[in-house]
Amino acid sequence: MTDDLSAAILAVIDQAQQSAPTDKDRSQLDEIRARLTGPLRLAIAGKVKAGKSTLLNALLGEELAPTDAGECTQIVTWYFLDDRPHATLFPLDGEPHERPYDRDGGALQVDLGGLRPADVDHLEIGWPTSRLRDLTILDTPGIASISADVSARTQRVLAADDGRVPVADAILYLLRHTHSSDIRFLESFHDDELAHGTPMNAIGVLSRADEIGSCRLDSMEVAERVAQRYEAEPRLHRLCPVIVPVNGLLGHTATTLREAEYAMLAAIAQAPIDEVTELLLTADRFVSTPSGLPVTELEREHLLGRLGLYGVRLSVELIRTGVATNSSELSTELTERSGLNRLRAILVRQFETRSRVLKAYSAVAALTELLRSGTFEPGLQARVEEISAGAHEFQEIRLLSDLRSGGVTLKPERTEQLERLLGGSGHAPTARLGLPDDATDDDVRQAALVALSSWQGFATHPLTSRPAQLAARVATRTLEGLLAG
Amino acid sequence: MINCDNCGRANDDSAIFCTSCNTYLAWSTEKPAPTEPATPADPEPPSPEPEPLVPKPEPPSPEPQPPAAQPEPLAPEPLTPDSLAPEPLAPEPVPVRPDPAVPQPEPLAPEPIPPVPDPAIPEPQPPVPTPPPSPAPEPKPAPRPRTSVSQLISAIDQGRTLTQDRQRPDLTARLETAKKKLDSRTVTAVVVGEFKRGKSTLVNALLQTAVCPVDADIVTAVPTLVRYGEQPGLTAYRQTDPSQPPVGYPAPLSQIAQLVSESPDPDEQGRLQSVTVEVPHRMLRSGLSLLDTPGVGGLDSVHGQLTLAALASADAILFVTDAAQELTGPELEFLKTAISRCPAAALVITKTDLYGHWRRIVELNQAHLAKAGIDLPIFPVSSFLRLRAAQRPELNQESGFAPLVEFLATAVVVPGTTRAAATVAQEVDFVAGQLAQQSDAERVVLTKPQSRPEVLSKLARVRDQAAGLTAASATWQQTLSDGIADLVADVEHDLQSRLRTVMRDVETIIDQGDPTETWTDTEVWLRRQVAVVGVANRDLLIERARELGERVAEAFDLEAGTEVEVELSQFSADLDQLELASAASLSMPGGRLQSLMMAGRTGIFVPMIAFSIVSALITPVVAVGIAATLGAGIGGKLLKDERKRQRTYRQQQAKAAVRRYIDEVAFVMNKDTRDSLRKTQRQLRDDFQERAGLIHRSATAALTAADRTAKLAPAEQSARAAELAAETERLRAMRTNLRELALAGGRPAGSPDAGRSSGGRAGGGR
Repeated sequence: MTDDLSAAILAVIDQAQQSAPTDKDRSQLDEIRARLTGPLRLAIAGKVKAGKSTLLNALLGEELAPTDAGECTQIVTWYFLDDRPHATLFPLDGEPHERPYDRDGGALQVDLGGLRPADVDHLEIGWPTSRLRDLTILDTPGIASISADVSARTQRVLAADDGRVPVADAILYLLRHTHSSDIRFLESFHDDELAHGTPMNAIGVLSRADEIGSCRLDSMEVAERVAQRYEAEPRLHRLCPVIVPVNGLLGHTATTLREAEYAMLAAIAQAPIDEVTELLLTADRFVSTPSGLPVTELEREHLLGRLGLYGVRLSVELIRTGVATNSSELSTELTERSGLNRLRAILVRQFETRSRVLKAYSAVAALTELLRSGTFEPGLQARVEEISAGAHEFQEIRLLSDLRSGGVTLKPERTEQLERLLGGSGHAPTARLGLPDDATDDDVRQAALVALSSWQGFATHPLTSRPAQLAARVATRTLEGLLAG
Repeated sequence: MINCDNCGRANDDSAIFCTSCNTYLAWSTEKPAPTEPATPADPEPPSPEPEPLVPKPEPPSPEPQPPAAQPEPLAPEPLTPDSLAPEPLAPEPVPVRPDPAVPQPEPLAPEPIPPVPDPAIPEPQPPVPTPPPSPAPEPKPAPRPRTSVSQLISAIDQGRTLTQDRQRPDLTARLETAKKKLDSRTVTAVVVGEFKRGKSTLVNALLQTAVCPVDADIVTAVPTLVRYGEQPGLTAYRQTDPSQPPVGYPAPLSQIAQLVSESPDPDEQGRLQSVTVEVPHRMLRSGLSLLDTPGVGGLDSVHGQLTLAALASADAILFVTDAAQELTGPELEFLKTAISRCPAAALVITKTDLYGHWRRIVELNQAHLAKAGIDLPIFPVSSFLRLRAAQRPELNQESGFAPLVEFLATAVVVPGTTRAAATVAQEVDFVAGQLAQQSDAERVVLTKPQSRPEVLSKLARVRDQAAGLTAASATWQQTLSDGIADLVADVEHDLQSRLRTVMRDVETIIDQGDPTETWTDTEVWLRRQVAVVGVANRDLLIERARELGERVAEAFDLEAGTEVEVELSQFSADLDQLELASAASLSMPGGRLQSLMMAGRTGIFVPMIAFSIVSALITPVVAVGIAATLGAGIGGKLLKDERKRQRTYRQQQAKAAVRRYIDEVAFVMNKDTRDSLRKTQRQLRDDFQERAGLIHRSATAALTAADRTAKLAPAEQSARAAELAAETERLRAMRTNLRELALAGGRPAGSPDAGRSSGGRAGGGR
């Protein structure tokens, strides 16, 4: 499919630009354009201490966001691609300006210049890293923080209470292992109609996954089981259809594992098994038990901080059983086990292929709002509506959203098929048709034809209800698109 | 000598913790004997007792007394009481007051009686093979203060001898009831906290037994009460009919996991109200019971409100958070509200074994608490280590459980027991008062023969007054029946007005939006609001019922006349308050859980109803919503009107559903109000009636005795006078003791909230 959609929206923006009455409107239009053409904005959200900054660092493969045992992130911080590293501060009052920063302890410490965090709207960090090419990541302060205004700031980024367009296009929602109350909580972000909170743009991450299983060696398997149960839960499913267990700390450390760290772990692994078991019994013991090992207490504390108790236990186990024999093998193994790779793959599948649509969706929403408030050519508003109503991509998303929120009810197998067809688990033709990735074009064609006739029959069947008919028509059109493309 | 239960090491008498495994020695007891508490035997078991109340004996340092220093072999000591101990020895807390007053041979207690290091009284050593040379060689056996409970038991037994002498089986029965009440006292510690913080694991770790099911995934969904029982057992309380109280069904212990875990079937879950587990665990023998609750989910959740309601009848809160993170906003908020409803509280930080930075978290939480103006002890613990400590005792110290266990012993069990003892003391004092009246009358007759007519007429008057008390026309009877009627009206009105406010708010909310979109939120909001209303209403009920109890007691007191030495004044008012408490919260199956169930019934009932509303309402709403989209082809104006019409229709549907729901809630809650008040009324009436009967009989007996004494020969008179003097002295000493015990209950040690006194456990509510 060609990018007619973006082009059409860009045309509207251009037109509006010419008739824009004020500078402010013009700059807002610029912003919308930037949004449409720039990378997808992904916000990382969740309760306090869910591990948002840690996950962000893991995704960037670099320690940028400061992390701490206590509550740490207090300001919404954007991380985007730029040629040179810089930190720009956007105060609540006054002009944005660059601020010096410090990077002693690894993470960026931006000097706020005497401003309290409460006076800062947000920070923007430009950073030259390829990982930010397709994605601008927003780190947010935790929800349910003790200081209420910190939580309120996150709400502004994610929710669109006052009819404003949310800043983020997509959300990575970090759940710690909790209960249905979290679901209720998530729902509050998703209640709005149209672009803001469709389940299309949320991925659930079961963060700090190792802790669910009390850092035992099978913790990640336990977490996987929990995540699967969550996915199956209908209420949660329509909010974030995909839930991935991730151990952010382990993932981050794995990608940045140093040779010296491997050496320390290997030294511990070589100790007698009884001694190792005793040492790894608790975090306290690990850092403070004096032992004959060549690894000092201080070094062990460093390891614990880097890997967490689970990470240390796992690494030692991997080295001891010979699964990992050098630092790069260990790094690979740990990254794999941390769930980070899977999360990355899902990000690509869920967002990057769909990012164009998501961005367009956000842009249309922003544009609608702007046009409604300002004085523009009357025809423009109609044009935007036309785009919004006509674009098949939007129809797909809306239907998918309806399907997941129970707005359209079909038989379970049809629902499942339709969900896949609409791109619920990936936009590639094979994914849409539920074929293996290596299916030949011919297979795809065959499958599409079969599905097409099935949906066509369904759409025209006299006993099909009206909503189902409409859904079937969208499906037909998608299939036609697949066959034509 | 205290023998550690855990490792068998004999420890110094004053040791708090076992020197070898660091088990808290208060819990160490001898093997439970199978006999019932009723039969007292005579030997005095050495008590494994710490002195918790005395200026805290630096807890973490176990007495480094080496076992070698013990003059005797380790073994014989525990055997002695074993064979004869009539009773499981509960770790009774020790009140501060040493009590040299009663040199009685100790009657036997279900409580561990101090090892009597008093050299003055040669201890009646039981006929055991090789009695050890007694703990006397211990260098510094300071006279151990007697426990409030053992004091009480001895008072009760003394009283029983007297009542039997005087042939007053009614008073004897009264004492027996008091004793039973004392034996069955409970001290409930509620374990609350967010989901998955390790509440169930904490309970297991405290008991070092896998009682509550623990799973990485599944959460506790039903309140689980763990208490003492000779035989392990499990009772599930289910509610099949919303208008009936839950009924308990015994179930095999192996089923606990299914019962307690979150059930996918909401119906089933709604029906199951609570689960009670009985385990023969030494730590629970003191009457301590642990209530494991479902995760709170913040103050504004339905569960949170229900937990708050449960706290009203609890003796302590253990608020559980974990070392993974500092306290969150909702947690702190909940904690603030919770501690105001409970006499003792502590913050427990679990999972310290998993996080190297747990000390930081403790500091951060300390700072948060300080900033919020909350003064709480904080206990960082590792349940993981504690559970392992069963096999490897040396891990106990590391687990951090020792201070927590000590907190439970000193700050929870002691005040709780003191409160329980206080109520019983008042009861026993009442009986003693009755006995004293007769002795007094006789003495007056003997010592001042000239005032005899006066005394006799006074006694006759008392008798007549007491007779009047039993009549249905007695003022207290009126006060009671009027009061109950008023109460019902007031509580129902309160509920109605609160629900009306909710209804109005809901209607505003519904009017503001389209129910298709807002219904989910509205429904959640509504449920929460109704839960809040329910809890507030129950609080009012309990508070007002308590007031009524006081008023009735006052009326009874006035009517009984001040000359009568009934002593219904100060203490008894408190006492009646407690009687009421038992009526309101103890009379139902599930015991102390009753008030939880009361709230739980409405609360857990709420989601059930809400579910049916959802299914009843959502379907039409959605259908209508789709229909509107279909009309997209129709002209603008027409569509707008149609949409508006449909929206209004949906709003009406939603309002009707809300109204039905609120009606249902009001119906159920009002029924509940009436039921519990009726029960309260009956209980109060019976109790006062019985009292009136006792007073009447006492007065009659006193009159007869005075008459008889007056007619005695002079020689017999003087003998009788001496007898009476001794008896009076005994009674006086006994009553002084009892008063002190009763007063001790009024000022729980360590609790700033002295005013709550025994009433605190009654309703606690405001």
